[in-house]
Amino acid sequence: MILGLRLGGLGEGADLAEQAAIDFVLLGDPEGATDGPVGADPLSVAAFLMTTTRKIGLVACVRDDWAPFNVARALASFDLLSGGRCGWVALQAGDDASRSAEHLDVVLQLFDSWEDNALVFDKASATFADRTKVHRIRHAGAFYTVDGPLNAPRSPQGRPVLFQPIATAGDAADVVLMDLDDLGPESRARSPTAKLLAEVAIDLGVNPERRCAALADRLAAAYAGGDCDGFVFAPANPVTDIPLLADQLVPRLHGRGLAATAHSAGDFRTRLGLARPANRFAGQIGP
Amino acid sequence: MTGDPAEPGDLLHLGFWMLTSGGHVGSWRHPATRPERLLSIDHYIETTRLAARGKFDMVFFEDTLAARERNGAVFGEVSINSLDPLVQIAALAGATSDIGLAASFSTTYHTPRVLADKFAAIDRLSEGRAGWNMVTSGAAAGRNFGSGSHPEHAVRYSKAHETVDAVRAFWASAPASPQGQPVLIQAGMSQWGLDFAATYGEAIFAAFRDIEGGRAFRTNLRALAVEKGRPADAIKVLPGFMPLIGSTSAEVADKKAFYRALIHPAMVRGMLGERFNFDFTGYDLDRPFPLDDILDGLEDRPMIGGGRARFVKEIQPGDTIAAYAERMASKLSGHLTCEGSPEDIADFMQAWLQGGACDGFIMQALQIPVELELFVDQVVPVLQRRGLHRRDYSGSTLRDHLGLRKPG
Repeated sequence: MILGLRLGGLGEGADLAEQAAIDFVLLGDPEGATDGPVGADPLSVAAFLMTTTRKIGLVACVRDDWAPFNVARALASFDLLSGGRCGWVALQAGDDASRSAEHLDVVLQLFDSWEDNALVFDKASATFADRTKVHRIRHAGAFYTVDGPLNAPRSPQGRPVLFQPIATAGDAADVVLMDLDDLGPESRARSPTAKLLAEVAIDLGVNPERRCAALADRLAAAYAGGDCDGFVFAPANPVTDIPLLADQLVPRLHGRGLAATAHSAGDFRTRLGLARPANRFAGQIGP
Repeated sequence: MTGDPAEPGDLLHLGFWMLTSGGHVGSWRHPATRPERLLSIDHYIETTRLAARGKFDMVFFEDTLAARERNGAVFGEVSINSLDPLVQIAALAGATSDIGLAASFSTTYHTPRVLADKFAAIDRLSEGRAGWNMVTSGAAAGRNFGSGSHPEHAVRYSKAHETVDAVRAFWASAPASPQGQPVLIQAGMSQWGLDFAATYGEAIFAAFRDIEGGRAFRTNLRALAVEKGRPADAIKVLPGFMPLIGSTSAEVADKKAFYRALIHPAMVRGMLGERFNFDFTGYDLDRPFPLDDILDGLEDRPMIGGGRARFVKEIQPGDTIAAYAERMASKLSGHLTCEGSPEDIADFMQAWLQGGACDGFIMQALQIPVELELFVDQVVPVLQRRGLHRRDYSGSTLRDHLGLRKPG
């Protein structure tokens, strides 16, 4: 099963999550339709964790009230610099679903504006990039007009892993997030090819041993029934809950053979069992 | 000559301007450059640690919101421009200590809330090492941001004033870092830029032709700051600077020739194509500059860096394409250059500092890491011996390094 952990503040606890071989940490509030406190930007915290951890996936909530070119550039940069460890939760700001869908569409187009083999690095002929493999997106929609290309090449994972909350999830989602209590047989209908992860609120402070045992039973049952592909833990008290999670809950899942005990090789997308997306512009002649 | 030691406290402030492979356009073709590493954080970590070994005040990343282009498609003969600078300095906060981490981010295409949130987060993550270079975006970015027309210069600057006021109000409500708030940096020497710098700027990146020009600017700016109720030394003026270090004049000449040869003719045609939005493919670089061909239909081709009158003025009678290109390449960078031995470079920096023309420099290296390493290993010790540069950090924040007070 896939395991994730929500972190608060400035990402404290990421090292414990990595040691416990949790697949990813998630920064920001995936239900957050409004601004959080100033000074805890999830993408900056996730970027910071790029160098304080080594392998764990880094997922940041990014709201779509930031221009699509900025979003695409920041995430592509993150994925490149980190060697393929970037994921993001695309969050809709405001009520307009059609604007939000267009925003995501533009971001995904920009991720494709450089083909995989566009970087040549041939010093002899002075060809850094093959300009025939870099494409304008020429997007002119109801809400956004963006010419492109992005000024960052295609990233190691093809594009960063796209998480969406179930309420706004669409066809492009790689991972869909929902609440454990709402999990049901119909949960997969919205994005059938995506990985479905259930968020689990944890509060392990009182009698942690018994709680961890009961929770492990519950998670094992949900996973065995095929209702979901894994879980995202949301600790009530990160300072106390994260060490308990790492020391007591996750080892129980390891003991039952339900979760990997080490990070396997490959980028974040590969570790989640997701295919590398094709590039829509591949083979197109001219910009 | 070795100049007299500076007065105590009269230290150089040094920023290192982090361009992917270096400040020279051909640096990605340098034998020591491994271009694929320019996309990895490891390259920037190593470079930042090297600058910290040289006790630089900060590293600085620029921000560009469009790909470089020539003739309607990506300019494939040059390195990509900087990746997202805030992702870079946030990542560096986790892998470096002491040295300041500064980046440009546009007031034109980011909201105050986004700017405040990101820089406050990075300032906290780095324990007080963040700096923000407040920039307005150039016209090339407009086509990626849905605005049919790019905002006018004056509009962009008045928006910048509002944005910075709003950002500072957000910061006042956020958890403070050890330096209180990120350092505010500004580049731009128009009258608008000067007023903005005197109002908000704490470090100013500038371009000067000579010491007299630097001194006049700095004196004027300090007086303007005082008029606005700020202490004169609350603003540090840092001209752009790129040294060429060689132990003998023969070595300097060899190095110049070596770097010139890194500029492939296709890059020359590309740079001219970028500037004039005109296709120079097939033009012999040794033939006379094809001014008439370029002026023909000039109005139909949007371009960077000016219009007809300016171009006509720039082309000199008898110019070949190559001659013009070489002049353009040195002029476009706009930064001071100094060639010579480590002692010569130190003399130059000392003369500017003690001539009242600057408080330090924002330095580029021709190639990263070779030329930065040379500066750190050979020029920095000379500056330290002369008492012009710190031997170690005396504080932990960027404000400490720059000698700036905490705001508020």
